Amino acid sequence: MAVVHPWVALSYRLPSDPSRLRLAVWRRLKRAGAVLLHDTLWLLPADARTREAFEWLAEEIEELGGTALTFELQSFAPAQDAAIIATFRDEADARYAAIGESAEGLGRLARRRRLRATAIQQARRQLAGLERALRFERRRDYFRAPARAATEAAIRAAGDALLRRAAGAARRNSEGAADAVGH
Amino acid sequence: MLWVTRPHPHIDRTACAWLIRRFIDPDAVFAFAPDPASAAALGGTPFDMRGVEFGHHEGRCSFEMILKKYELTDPALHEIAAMVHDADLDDEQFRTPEGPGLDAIVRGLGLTIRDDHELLVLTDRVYDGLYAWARRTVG
Repeated sequence: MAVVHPWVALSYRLPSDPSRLRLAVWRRLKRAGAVLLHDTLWLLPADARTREAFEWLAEEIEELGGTALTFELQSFAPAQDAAIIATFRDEADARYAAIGESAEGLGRLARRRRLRATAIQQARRQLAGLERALRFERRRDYFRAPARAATEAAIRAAGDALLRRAAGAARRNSEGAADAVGH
Repeated sequence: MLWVTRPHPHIDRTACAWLIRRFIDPDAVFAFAPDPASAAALGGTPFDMRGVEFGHHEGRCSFEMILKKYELTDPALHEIAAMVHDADLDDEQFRTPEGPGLDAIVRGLGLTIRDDHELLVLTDRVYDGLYAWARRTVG
């Protein structure tokens, strides 16, 4: 069965100067996970929240001296939806991959032969940041991009490896303290 | 009393409607209008619209602003406010486990129910349930 995908769309114009306004709007659209088609039309799958996101943004664009058009749209052909969904997934995949690579880096660090306790602590804080980034990606991943599973696995593996190293360091510490008392 | 908000309500607006009906104005009637000017034309009190008193202010969502204005101190309502804040603003301020789930449920209901009044009837029951749940925890 071909599913009809309703979309919400936003098209806008802003004064070219100052450029920071254009950048701020562009960032907001990327933050929402919107996809840009043919350099003119920003798209999100339609629901109450995505519609609201474009409503607010359109108002802000007009307050900044620009003009904005918002629509609810449906494709003529299901194949077109498939291509748009693939674009959403590709962009989400690239973001997942960046997080996954950072997590793999922390995993490799955890397997180093020598590692200071402070480095383990720092790596665990960085991993918490990656977990936060993953939660954020999951919220703007509208079509379950394929790279999500591998990124989740990389974060889990790095977390397990760092936890083992932290436990090992704590054990050596308490043994060292016991030795010191013994002498 | 007539209360007016924007059509296609999501988290903040559905939660505000429930809060108003259950704790502020049992005879509340809701209407939908695209902007504050059309809300004023209807003669209703606007909420969750740009630039109105019961809108987003200083990082608070409309639900939190209504709690503050009416001095509602019921801790269960403040539990729900944290969930609504997380689901609506997506800033991980309270990190409630319910926030993302509430977002999914209300978004999903909006996909299947096109009539906004019918949607509010259903979301009222969702928030009734959350309230009973919160009461058992902190009430």
